[in-house]
Amino acid sequence: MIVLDLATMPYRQAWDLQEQAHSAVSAGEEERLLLVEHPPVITFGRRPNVQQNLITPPDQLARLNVEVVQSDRGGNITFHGPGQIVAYPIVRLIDHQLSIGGYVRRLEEAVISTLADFNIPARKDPSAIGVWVAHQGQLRKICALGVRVRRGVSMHGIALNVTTDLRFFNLIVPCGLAGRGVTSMRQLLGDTTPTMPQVKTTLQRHITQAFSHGDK
Amino acid sequence: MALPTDRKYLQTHEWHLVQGDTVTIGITQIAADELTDITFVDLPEVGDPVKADQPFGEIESVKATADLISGISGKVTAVNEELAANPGVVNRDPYAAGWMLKVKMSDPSEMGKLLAADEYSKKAGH
Repeated sequence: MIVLDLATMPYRQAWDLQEQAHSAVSAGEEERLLLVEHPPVITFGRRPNVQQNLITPPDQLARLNVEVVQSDRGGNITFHGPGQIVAYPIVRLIDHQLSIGGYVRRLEEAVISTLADFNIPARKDPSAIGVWVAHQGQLRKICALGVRVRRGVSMHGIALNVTTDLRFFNLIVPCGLAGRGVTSMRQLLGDTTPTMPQVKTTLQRHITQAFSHGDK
Repeated sequence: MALPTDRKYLQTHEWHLVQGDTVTIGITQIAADELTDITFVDLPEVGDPVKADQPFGEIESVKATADLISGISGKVTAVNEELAANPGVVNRDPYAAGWMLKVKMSDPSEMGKLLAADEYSKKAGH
């Protein structure tokens, strides 16, 4: 799996690179993992009624320098911004004998393993997607997930809050789930929060391992 | 739920039921369960062409968006309008009320390449 660290790059630009990687992997080239941090952006899927979860007027978003982009991934509305590691694995599901559900589970498990390496006990929630952590008596989302599978090859992926400014999530109803909070590694770990490069390296290792061995 | 044996399947989980020169297409319970709650089904329009082994639309759930693939070539003669308002029908009743397309086949021999229920079941790993 070729890992491409895009550093900080706007959502649409990274989306173009995803499309290129998707074409390459669809044509039989080595699978890719794109890692990126986006400038503040709110994205949502194409289904009807999702925009109602964008609860902030456009002029306020403009003042805050938050872009709004309609994406083609599955899932509801979400926020990406500085301090959040976004991972886009471009893999051929069939090479790993994975269904869409199996692919999503494997991705969630890679995130859970990453968080476990930093002593954060995270889990899946059967009633909601993404990765969740108990904080102050409430399950909060630390990592959002939304994928697209086209011609058997994945794109889009996961967004893990490391030091994300969580106030940005007040601009939306995250994933359309009213009353469910979000959290970040910094909120949970405080001064002992690892650096972005440390988390990125660990996440990269778990994702590449999840889609490496003995599958083909 | 038992897999209906009156129709044929693609490994990508679409079922095809032949009635005369027309094929009705939908997705299997396995696929619907994998996607979990289906929120959006993007289908072609009546009169549009479809091609064997090519996408005819997309399906979106709370976690993923995926292609819908046709096993046969032809022209769309009907789409299930109900799915626009109630995509969850695909989760509840994928083999009947959750049908997606009816296609008038241009080459019925293409059906020969599709999988029987037991072959699909084996390939789908369920």
